[in-house]
Amino acid sequence: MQFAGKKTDQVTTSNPGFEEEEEEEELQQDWSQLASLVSKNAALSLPKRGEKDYEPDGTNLQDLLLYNASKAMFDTISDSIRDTTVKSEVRGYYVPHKHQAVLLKPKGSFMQTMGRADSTGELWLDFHEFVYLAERGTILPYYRLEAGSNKSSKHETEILLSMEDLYSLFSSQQEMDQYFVFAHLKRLGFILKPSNQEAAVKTSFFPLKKQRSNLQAITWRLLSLFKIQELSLFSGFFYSKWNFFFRKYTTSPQLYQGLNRLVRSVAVPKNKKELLDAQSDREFQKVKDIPLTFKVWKPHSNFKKRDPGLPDFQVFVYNKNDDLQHFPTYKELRSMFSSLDYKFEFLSEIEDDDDWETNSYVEDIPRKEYIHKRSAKSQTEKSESSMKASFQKKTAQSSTKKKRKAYPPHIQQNRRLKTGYRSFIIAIMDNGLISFVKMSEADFGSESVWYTPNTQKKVDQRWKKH
Amino acid sequence: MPPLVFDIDHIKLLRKWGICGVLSGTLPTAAQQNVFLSVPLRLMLEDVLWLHLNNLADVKLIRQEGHEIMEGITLERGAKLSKIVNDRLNKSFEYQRKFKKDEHIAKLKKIGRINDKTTAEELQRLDKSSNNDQLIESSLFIDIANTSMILRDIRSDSDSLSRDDISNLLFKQYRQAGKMQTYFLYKALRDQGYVLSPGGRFGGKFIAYPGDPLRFHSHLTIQDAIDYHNEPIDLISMISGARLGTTVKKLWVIGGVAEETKETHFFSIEWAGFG
Amino acid sequence: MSKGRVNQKRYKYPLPIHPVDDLPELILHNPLSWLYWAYRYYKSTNALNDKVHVDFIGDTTLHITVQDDKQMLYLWNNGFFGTGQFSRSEPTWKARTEARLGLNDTPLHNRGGTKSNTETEMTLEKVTQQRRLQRLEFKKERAKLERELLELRKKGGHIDEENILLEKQRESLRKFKLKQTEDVGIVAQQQDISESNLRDEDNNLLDENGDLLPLESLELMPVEAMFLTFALPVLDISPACLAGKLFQFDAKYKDIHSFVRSYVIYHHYRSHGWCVRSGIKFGCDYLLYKRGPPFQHAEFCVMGLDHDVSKDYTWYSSIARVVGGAKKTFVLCYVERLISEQEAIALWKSNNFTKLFNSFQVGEVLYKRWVPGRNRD
Repeated sequence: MQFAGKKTDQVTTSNPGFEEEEEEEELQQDWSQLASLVSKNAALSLPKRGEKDYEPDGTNLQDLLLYNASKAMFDTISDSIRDTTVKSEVRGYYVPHKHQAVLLKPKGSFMQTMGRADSTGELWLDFHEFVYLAERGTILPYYRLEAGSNKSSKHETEILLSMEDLYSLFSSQQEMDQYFVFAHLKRLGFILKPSNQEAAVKTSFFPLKKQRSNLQAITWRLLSLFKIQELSLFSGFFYSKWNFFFRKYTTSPQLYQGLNRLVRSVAVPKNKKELLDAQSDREFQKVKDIPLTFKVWKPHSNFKKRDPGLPDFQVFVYNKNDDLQHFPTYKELRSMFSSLDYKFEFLSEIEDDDDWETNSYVEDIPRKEYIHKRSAKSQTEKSESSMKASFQKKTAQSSTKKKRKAYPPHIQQNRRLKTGYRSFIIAIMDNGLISFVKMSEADFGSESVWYTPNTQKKVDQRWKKH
Repeated sequence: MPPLVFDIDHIKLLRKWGICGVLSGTLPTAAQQNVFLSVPLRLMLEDVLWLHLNNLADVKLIRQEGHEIMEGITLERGAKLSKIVNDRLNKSFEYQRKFKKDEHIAKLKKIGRINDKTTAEELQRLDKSSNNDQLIESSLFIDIANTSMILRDIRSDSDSLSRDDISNLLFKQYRQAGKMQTYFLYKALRDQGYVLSPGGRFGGKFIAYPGDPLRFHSHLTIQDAIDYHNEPIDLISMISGARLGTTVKKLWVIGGVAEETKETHFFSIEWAGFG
Repeated sequence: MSKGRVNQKRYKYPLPIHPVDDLPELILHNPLSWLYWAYRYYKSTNALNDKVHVDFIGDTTLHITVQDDKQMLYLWNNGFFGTGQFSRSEPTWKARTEARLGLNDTPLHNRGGTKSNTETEMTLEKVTQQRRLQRLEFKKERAKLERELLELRKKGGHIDEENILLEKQRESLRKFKLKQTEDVGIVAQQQDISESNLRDEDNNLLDENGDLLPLESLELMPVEAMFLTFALPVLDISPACLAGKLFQFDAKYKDIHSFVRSYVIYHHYRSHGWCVRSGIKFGCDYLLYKRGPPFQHAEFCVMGLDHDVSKDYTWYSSIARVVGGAKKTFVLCYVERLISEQEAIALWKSNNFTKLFNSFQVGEVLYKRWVPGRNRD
């Protein structure tokens, strides 16, 4: 076997001197730059209590380096105070029996993506949103003691809570782990909502479950039985000793086709129709739900809490050191895949946001129509016509926009194999360190990769002409 | 519930003792990143066990849920706590005011408006005209403390428990999470001066640093303990681990506790022939 | 002929059973050509005239081997089955040793029987050897520089001096590495020359005519052997016979489960066109190649699991880390048995492998590290 000497299977293991190609975790933390930034910007440093740190005298270089590094770190942490000015303070009051916080006079840019406003204009925050905003210093966490029988006290007693108090209010390890994942992603700019919390306007990829008639139920059962039957009608003639006596195969693909019907493989939805079919199948099957934890949207400035649309990802939080949890089995993974409802990025029919509007549903109406209806309602006649005009212009634009680069089939196939279909993210918590893994459905059983010399060349040439 | 530490001085002390933990909270001055994080420090169960068994920490057992503690604060106690907080804030305000005034004077001196000979009345006039006091008042800030006063003086249910009782409770909790022997591996490595951190990202239970992580790279990945006299090692896992060790430049280490002698033994496995 | 053309010719057929592709042209208006075509068609067959012979060696661990030179090469060239026992994958021991002992006139890189091209071609083994040497040299160089740094520290150098020295050292290491990659060609040739030293033991390798004894065999994985008898009739033993060699006649289901699962996965990928080889190098079950090792690197690493199994997180993450580091895709292949254990073992015992393998279902999930920072837009 001849090798050109370039790339081999031992791509990363051979070079001890090179950096790891990923931004990976073993970067030694260098707090020094951050420290100088923080001390410059800190309004002032609160006086530090405690004994004087041991200061090395500089002869031992190792000690000096360590001292500098840890001083930079501790100074930065001490100097980074969570503060709001008295003028612009926003107070959040923890309500124990609801395990939420209420902001009586809410203000701030965080309101765009967090909390729920009630009819009186107060803002309610989920507990993890509350802790996150307090940790940042955006709001001040208070606990208000209700005035008891002693009516003479005019004002209620309010206690400014500490971070330690807030963390002690988590109701379980799981909730705290979910909080850490929430905070991690929020810091990067993502917008998160718990999966079990619905916005006022609920968008789904799937139209509403229709009430199935009995007849439909029976038909479905018969069809699925037939599918099973069809498989067991499989003829194993290829594997009998008479196969090559009676049959002559003139091409290699024919041989492959004889071979590949033996082992069954799970079919996975690959396009919109199959997704919708899979959803209706799910209604019939009693799939035990493994709920995903969060719906996540990529950072963008026009997020609407009331009507956020389909999320970009869905995340499941898993603590690897918790004996009550385990990494999902295949059955569980399939259940999670089938409960997904987000912007399925693998769909080739859908290319941009406008397509998503057409392909998702709000209570059974395609989202696009729903939006159009709503905005039409709230506008006057004149502006409605101008809206219509701009709407038409938009559709005209989008139809010209659709010319996306088409790739030759073997590259498309490679993509399908390497990125898969439906997917979700698992966030793994390991004693404080969080890693993320993307689990995607794949279907090698639907792809054939045998090489056919002549056809391959022809197909490639045809593509090159484009 | 995972063990968390909020007091920065305690965190410094822990670090001196070789427990570095994982900082997990938002750093307010650089809130949009995850590389540099602040308090709370999250510890591993092994860290807590080690601290307790070495008599370095007091473990308090609080059976109430967090919100029960909140709801259990009496008006009287609440008023006291509130006063403590307000006192702290007022002191902070005083300090801020003085600091800002001094800063202002220094600035004026620098630009030459005043000098050491300026009288107090002149200073007062200058202040009034520049609205300095108002500016200072409006820029006063309130900060959120790290550590709790509410929890500090709560009556703990563990006052009646002996140290041994607490040890047993901790052991029970630990055993539920995994093998007891893994703690002995932890202990043996700590006795040799290693600092241990969670190792899930590197394909192991812990990663071990020969000293403070700020200064050294870790060069060991430690697996969960195995009973190496009786339990088989899956060869494919071993190959995978050794190969991984080469990729991340750490030695793949397994260890166990010998039943009779109760000594811990470690073995490292390396991909041979890499040169 | 270019290397690409050589490979196209040599590895023309993806399986050891060839299609009947040499039928004469059918000239529609000429009845004679019809007759001739029909005659050729009747006479043709896909089946092999001579099946490949396997020997079973070893008592405690069974080795399934092919010992004939031509047959070894046949299995390799037609689908990359098996591994040479003295080689990295393709059985090249004979050629390498002959070259080393100077037993043949043609130098190593003309082994294909064609004109050599300008590129210095080496066997895989040579490449590995050379890289090891280079790594050793690099480490020596680096150790030298580290000693220099330590000297400076001992003398009590200031931290700035240290930083300057570090920078200088890093630069020199970079240059050293660059030079190493350039020296590849030169080193290879030097080694060729130096290897023609005979050792005393080498006499044992030769027979009385001075020819090299055929000591290397091609070893087949049990799943490969099963494929080459059950799926395609290539080997000279029957599937039943192979099953009997692999397991005792009174085996229970739990004894055969692992093998059956491995086979189902192997067959699944082979039957869709993949070249499936052992993944032990990456700590996983199989590697999937599109056409074969000489053409492209394997892009997928497959681990087989039962469908109701959950492993420790460390298991998934270490394999993923190794696979990801080699820039391959990690595939979890879950296998579900659709019939009961009793039915399965009954089918096995009655040699009804077709129905047995047909009663399994395979599903795949890709496992990939996800970095939130890179997925924000």
